[in-house]
Amino acid sequence: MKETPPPAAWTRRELLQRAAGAAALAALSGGAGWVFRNRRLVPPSRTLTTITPFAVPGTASEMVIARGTDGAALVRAAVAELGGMQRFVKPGDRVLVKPNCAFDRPPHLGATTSPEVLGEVVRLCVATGAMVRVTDNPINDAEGCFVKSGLKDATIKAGGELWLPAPALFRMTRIGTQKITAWDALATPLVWATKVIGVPTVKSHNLCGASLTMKNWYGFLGNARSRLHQSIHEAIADLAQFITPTLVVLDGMRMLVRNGPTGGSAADVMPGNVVAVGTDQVALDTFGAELLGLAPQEVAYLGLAAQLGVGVLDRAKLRIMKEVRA
Amino acid sequence: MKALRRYYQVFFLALFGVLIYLTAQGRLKGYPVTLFLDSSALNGIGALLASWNVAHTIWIGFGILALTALFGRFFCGWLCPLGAMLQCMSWLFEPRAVKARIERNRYVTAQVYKYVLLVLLLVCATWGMLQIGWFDPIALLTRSTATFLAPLVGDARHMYGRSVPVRCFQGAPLIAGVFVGLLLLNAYRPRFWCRYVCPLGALLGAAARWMPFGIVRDTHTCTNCGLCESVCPAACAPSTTLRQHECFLCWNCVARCPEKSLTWGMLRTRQKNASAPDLTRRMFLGALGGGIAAIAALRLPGLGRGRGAPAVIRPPGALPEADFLERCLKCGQCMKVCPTNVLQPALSEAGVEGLLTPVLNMTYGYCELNCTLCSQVCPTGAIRRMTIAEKLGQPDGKPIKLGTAFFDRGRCLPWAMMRNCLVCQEVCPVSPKAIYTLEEEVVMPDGTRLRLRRPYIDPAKCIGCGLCQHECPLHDRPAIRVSAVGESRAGGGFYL
Repeated sequence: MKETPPPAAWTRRELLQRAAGAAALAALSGGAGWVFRNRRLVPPSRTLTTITPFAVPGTASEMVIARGTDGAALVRAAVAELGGMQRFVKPGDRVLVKPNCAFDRPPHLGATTSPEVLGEVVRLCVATGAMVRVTDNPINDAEGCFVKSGLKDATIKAGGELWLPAPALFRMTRIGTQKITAWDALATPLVWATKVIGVPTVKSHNLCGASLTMKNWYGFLGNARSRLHQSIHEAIADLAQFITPTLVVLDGMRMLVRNGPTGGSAADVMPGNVVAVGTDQVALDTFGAELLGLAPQEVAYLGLAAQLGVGVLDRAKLRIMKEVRA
Repeated sequence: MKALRRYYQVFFLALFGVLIYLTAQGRLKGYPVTLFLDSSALNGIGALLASWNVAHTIWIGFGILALTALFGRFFCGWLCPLGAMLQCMSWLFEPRAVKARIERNRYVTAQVYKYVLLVLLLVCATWGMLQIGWFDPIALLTRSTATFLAPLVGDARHMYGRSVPVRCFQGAPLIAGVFVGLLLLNAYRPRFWCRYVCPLGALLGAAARWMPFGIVRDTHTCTNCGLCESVCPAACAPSTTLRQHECFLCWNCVARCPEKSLTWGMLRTRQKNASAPDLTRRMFLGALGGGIAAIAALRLPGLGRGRGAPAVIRPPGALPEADFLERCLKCGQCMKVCPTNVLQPALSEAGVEGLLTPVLNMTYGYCELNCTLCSQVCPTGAIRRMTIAEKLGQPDGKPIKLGTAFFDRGRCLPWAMMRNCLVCQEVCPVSPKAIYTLEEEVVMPDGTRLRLRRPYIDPAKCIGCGLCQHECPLHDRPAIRVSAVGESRAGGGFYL
């Protein structure tokens, strides 16, 4: 063994420092043990987000049907008939507008909301002094859907913002009472919003008959939603309970009457030249089903939603029911 | 003291063996079978960082850590059952020549790599990727014992005509390979694992940073003969500047010193020990970056989360997959205790992140209806603790569903071959049965007509236990198979 020089010695100060360090570390570790002495293993609790209703008091049970060829003018006329957008949206409101932007299709194929209808809704809201964001969680790539459907352009030109879905915006959310009590939903925008306006389009649907206002709320749900097809009518009734909108603008300008909900051929589209605006989801959807030639009893979710008290099937029973031409 | 230390090592190794022995159906009577896993502060801190949810038993780990701050790595020298095993192996490989032994026990800077590994694993844990169980000595030994040593003992008992249940584990060769490799590495350096790899040792070594007690050398009487190093298993350089973060407090050097120059006590103003590991700033930052890169890289294909997440059937009470992976130590306690042998270490099924985590493989067994043993022994709550009543859904009518069974009508005998069978319906353990039959008229190959009962699944009743799959006579590829679709932990309720 080679000689090693005698090592340097500890000074008293160094020793005291060491003792203090060791005592502190021991105390820290012991303290941590003490802190955890009563902890039990609990499975992580999932707190459910609750979405509050967005309806404005005193505006329930209203509906206006506007007929004509200019979608934007129809929206203006119908909303004016209901007393103007300021009845529903106040300055400073944060408005979330939910069009049907489910597919990567150009507007004339009728698979998505008409850009002129969405644009006019956004413009009317912005004009009241509200902040407007448009969102949807489409089936195809979100960015592509908004661009090709013309809804991105319409939103931005009207002074609104686009809010594309991202994983961080989803949370487990309370939905309804039938089959989906909780689901992964686009909760952040819904919590942000003080008002929600649905702008669905009139489409046929291979499984549930018609995709209208209530079915359009599917676009607030997260990925595994294809499972809901196993009992789609109950699921749609749940969605109708999930969102109580401030206003609904049902776009019947280009109706997808066949091969819904995707369509893909101009031959599947029929001009409807109608926009219905109102606050009763069931009455609006019954009207939309009629446009597609379906009786209310042929679309089971209408009856289910009516039973759950979401709205009325017979629009004659509404408090306000008008028709206008523009 | 050296003799006392040996008694401790033998005692704790035996205790470990006894607790593993008790981790079995019929023996598990509230014994603290997770005692050793709890005593590893590394497991506790890792699970805490990954999931922010630990059991009170973490106090054992923290307590040992606190004592380590004062006295050093006594755990490694006195308590660790893997350490005891490796020390025994090292002794078998010991060369005769004193000089050769001194050479093998010299401190080398490569011993710093265990600290690098520690930092890397803790970084991963902070982002919810708990890979600590791969390297924690207790988790490693528990896993190796459960899936390799215990079945080996079982096989040996078979040879002597004892009737003990056969235990087979699909990952056993891999786990055994790692374990045997560890044992053989002692031929290169005594306690190779403890010196170079063990992240728990690194954690404890780091905690010994300021310890005021230790082995001290009287430089006046020391003749620098080097004999102390010939017996030092820790390679902590007792003959020169003692590395207190490496020292196991094994007392070998004190016992061996012919001049009685080495004593244990308060550090005196005679000599400085080396306090901190040689972990340079560059190495530390490298480990930090490496940890972050490892998380990103391992999650690139989606693995345990998001798209591409493998669908595996987990034990009853297992948390949702992401939460499960944040807690599972891969210790194998659940596999050890499972009475049917259905719980198997995942190989490729659960992705890279989930390697060696427990999955159900119905070839080996099935989930016993009235059994929640796996949930009783899970040290971190990856499988939440529950009663049999809870599992069966007795309070709320919603039993734990592991998945759903599906018929493969191209293979199922009554469907494909017009033969009677219905073994699946016979064994289905839920009441009323989840498999029902309808009598149907079928045409035989010779044209005759026959009335035959064919099985169907009621997904509302099926709990995915896999007994049907296990018992299906088409043993190589059963005609009824459970998939993770509809499992309770994924939520979804009515929907499959």
